[in-house]
Amino acid sequence: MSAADYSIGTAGARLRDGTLTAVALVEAHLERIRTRDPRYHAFVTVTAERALEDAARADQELGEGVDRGPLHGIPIGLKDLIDTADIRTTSGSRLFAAHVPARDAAVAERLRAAGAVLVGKLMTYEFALVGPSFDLPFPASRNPWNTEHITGGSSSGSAAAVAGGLLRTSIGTDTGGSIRSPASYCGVVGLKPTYDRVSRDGIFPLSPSLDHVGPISASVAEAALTLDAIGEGCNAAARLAEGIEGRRIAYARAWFANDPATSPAVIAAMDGAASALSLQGARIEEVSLPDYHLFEAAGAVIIQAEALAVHAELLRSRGDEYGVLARRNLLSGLSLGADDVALARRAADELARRIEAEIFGRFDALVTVNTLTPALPFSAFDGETSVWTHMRTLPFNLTRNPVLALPIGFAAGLPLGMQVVGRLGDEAGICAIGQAFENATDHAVQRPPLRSDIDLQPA
Amino acid sequence: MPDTPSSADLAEAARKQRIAIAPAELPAVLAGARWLAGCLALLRKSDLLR
Repeated sequence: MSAADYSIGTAGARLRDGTLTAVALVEAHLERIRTRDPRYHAFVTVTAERALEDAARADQELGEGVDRGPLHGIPIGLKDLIDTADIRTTSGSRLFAAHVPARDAAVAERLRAAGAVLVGKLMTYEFALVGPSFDLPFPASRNPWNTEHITGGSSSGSAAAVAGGLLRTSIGTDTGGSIRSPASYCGVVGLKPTYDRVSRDGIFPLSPSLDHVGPISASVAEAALTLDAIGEGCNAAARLAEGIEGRRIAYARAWFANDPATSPAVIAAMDGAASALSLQGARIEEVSLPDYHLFEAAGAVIIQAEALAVHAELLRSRGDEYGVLARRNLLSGLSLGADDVALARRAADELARRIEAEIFGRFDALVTVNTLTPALPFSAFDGETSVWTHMRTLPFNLTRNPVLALPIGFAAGLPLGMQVVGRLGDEAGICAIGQAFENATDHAVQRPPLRSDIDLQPA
Repeated sequence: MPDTPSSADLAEAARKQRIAIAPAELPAVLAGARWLAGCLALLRKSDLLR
């Protein structure tokens, strides 16, 4: 077994009992990146030299009894929208292809203080807008479960790296589902925290009122440990073993089951997941939510208006350097006026009020689907036309609730996913539900098929 | 912007913002703008804010 397959918990224990060094752990991950990433395209930049220096420092500190916590000596990757001092940060765009920030984003600073070892920067849709694109300086990430299929986005490299065994944990951002949908498509765990639980400072914005920052990880426990390191006052890992006996969980089934776009396999997997939670002692009750399309309408208007405001100056001065998809997407926001945005914000506020009153007034959590289908094949995308990938993620950017994305099974060899939505500030509660679900199922231990000619060569 | 924006409406909005739109990309941008107009129409006709 490669050290790259150790969970953060196992690796941490071995780093502390002297049976593993951080340098050896980083070397194992770098070897994985070298052998597998040519097929997955998860990384934009690999920081091997610096990672080995940081790992040596972690070994020295741990040897001297300086323990920075569970991520000390653990390899991690950051979505390439997140500024890193002296390391290229491209935002997935030709415009920033040579951009080297002078300082770290707040989340990168926190990870460094926690002793995590940055091994590289991970692919994103251009400025987190839309994808996959085929006219950027960087190739689109590919789904490790089937490289002919997309990863989803925009945190595409973060999900591909974890699913492909290149990392155990990574950081992404989520404005309408950009942590959760790639987590679903790639069969890994995503955690969108409560709005502003994790600082957005030093991260290129998409839509500042909806942008969230959080982990994509191999398991619920590893997502919780990562969140605890980057968020303020989460304490999610300490409460993982709470169990869910008697917990009241709303199941928004009609929200997706009545949509003709939903794959029958997704409905069956969601019903199975709800049943598994019930068998663990949770009290599941089907509920109705406001029309999904109202959330989508309000969210789309807010995102397009805010994104255009962020990019207006760059569109004036360097507009021809954008990729086709991102540019067209941004320009559609020109049609929006201040009254339109005000209407969308009022609608979003009212929808959030209803979810808070009607769901979180009665329940501890809500479960519903993540993406309505497995990941589409690349052949469905031409790089010039936006293709709608159906999901149910955007509402919880408007409501700002924390959401845990969990794998729940497969269709035609591709992963399917569920969302567990918590009360505002209750990341620990949804992680406890996720841990109970993970304990009761084998979804989290599934790994993509390996190609014997590449993956099984001796390290 | 009217409920169903036209190419002329979009070109005027771009001119005001001093952002260039190439004729070749106008159909795709217009499709996006019309989809957003549909979003706004949905919000206006719902009983959400009544």
